[in-house]
Amino acid sequence: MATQSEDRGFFPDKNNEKIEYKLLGKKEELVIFNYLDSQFGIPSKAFNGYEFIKRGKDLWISTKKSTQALAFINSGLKINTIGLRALRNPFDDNKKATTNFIQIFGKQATKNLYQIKESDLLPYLRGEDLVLKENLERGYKIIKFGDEIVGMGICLDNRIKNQIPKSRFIKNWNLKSI
Amino acid sequence: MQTQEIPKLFLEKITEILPEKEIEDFKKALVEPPLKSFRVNSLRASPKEVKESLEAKGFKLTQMNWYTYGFFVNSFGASLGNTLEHFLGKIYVQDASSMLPVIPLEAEEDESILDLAAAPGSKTTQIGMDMKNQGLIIANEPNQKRIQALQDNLERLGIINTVITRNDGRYFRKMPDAFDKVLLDAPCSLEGTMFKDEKIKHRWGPNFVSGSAKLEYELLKAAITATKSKGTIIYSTCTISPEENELVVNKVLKEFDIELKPVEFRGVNQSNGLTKYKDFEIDKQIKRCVRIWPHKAKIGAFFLTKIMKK
Repeated sequence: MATQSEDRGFFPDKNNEKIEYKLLGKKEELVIFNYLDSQFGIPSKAFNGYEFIKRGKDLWISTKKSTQALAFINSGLKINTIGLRALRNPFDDNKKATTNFIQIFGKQATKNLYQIKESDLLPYLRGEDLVLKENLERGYKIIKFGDEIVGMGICLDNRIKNQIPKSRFIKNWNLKSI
Repeated sequence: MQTQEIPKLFLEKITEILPEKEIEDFKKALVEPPLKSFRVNSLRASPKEVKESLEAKGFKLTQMNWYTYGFFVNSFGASLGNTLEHFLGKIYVQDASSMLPVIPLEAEEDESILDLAAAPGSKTTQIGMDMKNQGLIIANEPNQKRIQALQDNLERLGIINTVITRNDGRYFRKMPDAFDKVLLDAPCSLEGTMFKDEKIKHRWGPNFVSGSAKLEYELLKAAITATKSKGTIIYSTCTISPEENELVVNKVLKEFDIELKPVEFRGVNQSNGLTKYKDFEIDKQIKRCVRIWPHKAKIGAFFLTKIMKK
């Protein structure tokens, strides 16, 4: 691959609508690192070797080498996505880390973790919310089952609202135990 | 499907390439449902851990003796797709023979690799785990409808190092010498699987085979062009007709400065590529291609070859 890369530009979505992309600069990266550290305790060193790309309303994470593909847009390479969607609305107050991103980097999290009970796991994986008996601080939580990162949830009053993407819900659970 | 429903024209072709004593076994194997299998995603779990957790739930598993990450599922009523292991991206349900082409690709961490016909992502995710989520994979899929499945699978298995593109595969002729390695698991006439499937079995016909062969030849030319000197191309199909396999490779051998490399899967009953078919003049190197016959190997029919660009 060519070694040059383009820091910003456009590539069209599936409807051929041009959407701007931009590789994050150091200041913008710091905003993201600070959020992930203060909210979940994920250290910035977890992202060494990766690149964040803002595209439309979302922030994506990829390897640095993946961004080399951007240099070929003008010669007709039709890029659909680069890497994995990491955060939605990354520079707004309502920023949200995705389940897929948290399943990778959440293993290094130390804050806002919620251990789900075995009896609640299946309903949660089916898309149901968790009803809480205890009081928890409002905001995003990483849902864990033992050492496993199940995904994201948002704590609102006495419940954790399910944030698992619908396409990943488990529909027919027919095993005796998990 | 019953063996007597296999198209006569297809069987006539098979009698040219298989000994008569094997035909009945081949026909039976062609219509039998394959043994269910899955691959462990080493980015998320070890084979040992997955084996223990699924066996504790009642699955009966046999680890493949030719691939550490592959397992056959011998029996259980439940669907693997509804397990926690599947949700967490620890496993990918994948036909055993479809795991083969990524093995000789020998993907390494910092390489640039093109997966020319990537959806639904079984091999892309396998390459991603071999690369330890580093470097770059371009996963190309021209059919927009199939891209969503590709993206869903990459996300579930936690693959970051991938750029999804939606070009006609022939576009990659315009990126000469760009990739260390290219996998072309070509869109083919599906002879290895279609006779097991009531919905698609009627698609087969000589025109379907010849049309597929033309496209495969064009795609393989693009794959070779896009590979760097000393780079590797894996060409594979899940079809049986020599027109889509040996004859496609035979043509590119005449046009490019390439050589075929031997491939051995220890523990798989593999056969050599055909060096005799009708009146075609076939290069002796074609013997280095690998054929997987379902009645011998007890996995789905497959063809692959490893090409080195000089």
